[in-house]
Amino acid sequence: MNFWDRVSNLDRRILWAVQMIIVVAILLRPIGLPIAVSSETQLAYDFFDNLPPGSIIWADFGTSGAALVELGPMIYAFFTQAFNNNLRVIGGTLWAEGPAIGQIIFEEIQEEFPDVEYGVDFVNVGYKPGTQILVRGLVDDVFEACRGVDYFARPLADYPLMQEVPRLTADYVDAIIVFAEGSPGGREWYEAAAGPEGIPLIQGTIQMSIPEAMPFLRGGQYAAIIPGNRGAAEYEFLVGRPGEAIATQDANSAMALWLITVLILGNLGFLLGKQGGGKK
Amino acid sequence: MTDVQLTIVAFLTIGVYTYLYWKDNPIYTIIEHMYVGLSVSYVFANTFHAYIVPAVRDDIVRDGKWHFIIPLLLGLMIYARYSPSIGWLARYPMSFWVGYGAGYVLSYEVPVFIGQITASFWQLNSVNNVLVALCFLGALTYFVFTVRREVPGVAPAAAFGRWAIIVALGVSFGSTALYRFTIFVGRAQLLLFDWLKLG
Repeated sequence: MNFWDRVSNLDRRILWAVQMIIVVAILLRPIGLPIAVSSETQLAYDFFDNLPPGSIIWADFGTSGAALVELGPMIYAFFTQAFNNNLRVIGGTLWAEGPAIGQIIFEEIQEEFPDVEYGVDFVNVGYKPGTQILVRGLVDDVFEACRGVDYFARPLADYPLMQEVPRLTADYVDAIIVFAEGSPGGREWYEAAAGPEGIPLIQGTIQMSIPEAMPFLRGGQYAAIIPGNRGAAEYEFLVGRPGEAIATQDANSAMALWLITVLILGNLGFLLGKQGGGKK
Repeated sequence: MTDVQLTIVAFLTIGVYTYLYWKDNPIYTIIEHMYVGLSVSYVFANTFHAYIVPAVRDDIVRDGKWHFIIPLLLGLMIYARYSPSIGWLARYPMSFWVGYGAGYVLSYEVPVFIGQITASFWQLNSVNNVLVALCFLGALTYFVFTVRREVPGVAPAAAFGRWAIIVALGVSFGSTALYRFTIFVGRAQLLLFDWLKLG
């Protein structure tokens, strides 16, 4: 067994241990790498910045606890920008855990914006099963599709914000933002509502789904995307509310470098070792 | 989160990561089952109380919308597959489902693809778009087996398409791996700063 064979047969637990040490060391002693804002995140920020005060945004907190590290910071930054610009938000979600997550983040942000009021500036209509069928239902009649109640089972008709939004169409809603961990996500909202009704759609997406979201952006179907944890950090930077995403950027960059190193070593091990036809 | 909640979360997180060192061990299995059970029961309870109960109590019983019984029955028929003698009943809701899906795809998904193809394929006005077009044609050629590879140009196009597919799969793998790493960084943050209060 030559050196490259030993590299390709390295015990994976050693790799995990090195990875763990790198993450812990960098989280405890951050390097402070600069953050350059990508054009995608800038588009999203500019879009909300240019909306007139009072505009209504439909937000899908389509995340579970697993993707919170990427989508959570985006949601914090989004609420901050929305309430800084006097925008109003309706949270309606196709993921079961999403409304609870959205509500927790809203209540934390509300402490920074004491004037923001539930029912006037924000309503959480909760989790609604049915994916595209539900979205089409919202286009026809928001109250009927939501069965007339919000996340807390209180009547939607009691809220001033909801009285202005009888249907999910461009006449009543100025934009849709989808924080999407997977499917259902931006695609379903685009196909069933944003596309047919001409409502601009912005997607906050996890790292893994960026390649899937890019054709929608390039095709002009999404108005913008916030790409992964990196995009969340850029968004936090633009909004001026540094949070968890910025704090993890050094560790994420180190992880990316580690992944590239391991990939190169693994491929060299395969090509130069005996298994890959190297010197026998 | 209170300190007790944080400690539970921390132990569950560490328990899940034991998989990396001891593979499918009892601690990991218990937590895995807890997670699946919690997720499923949460969705079930949510859907049951938010949709099924109001549909039966309000729509059917109170408002007399008796036609709502049809989708309710269709839904129940799916469970017929658990009984071999009436398992065939499950085919009806499935066929309804597939039919609806096919209709939906034809009416809503085709315009989406056409928009993306138009934007990135037919407008060859940038290096990216030319590359997308070449990769698309190459990958198609790779999977066309009715044209002999000896025909001039087919073999190199197929080879190019093969590389395009490999690169696309590599990008997909890289994105997935980085996403998992990002989740790990988030968990490490929770353990170090929220639980151990090191930061």
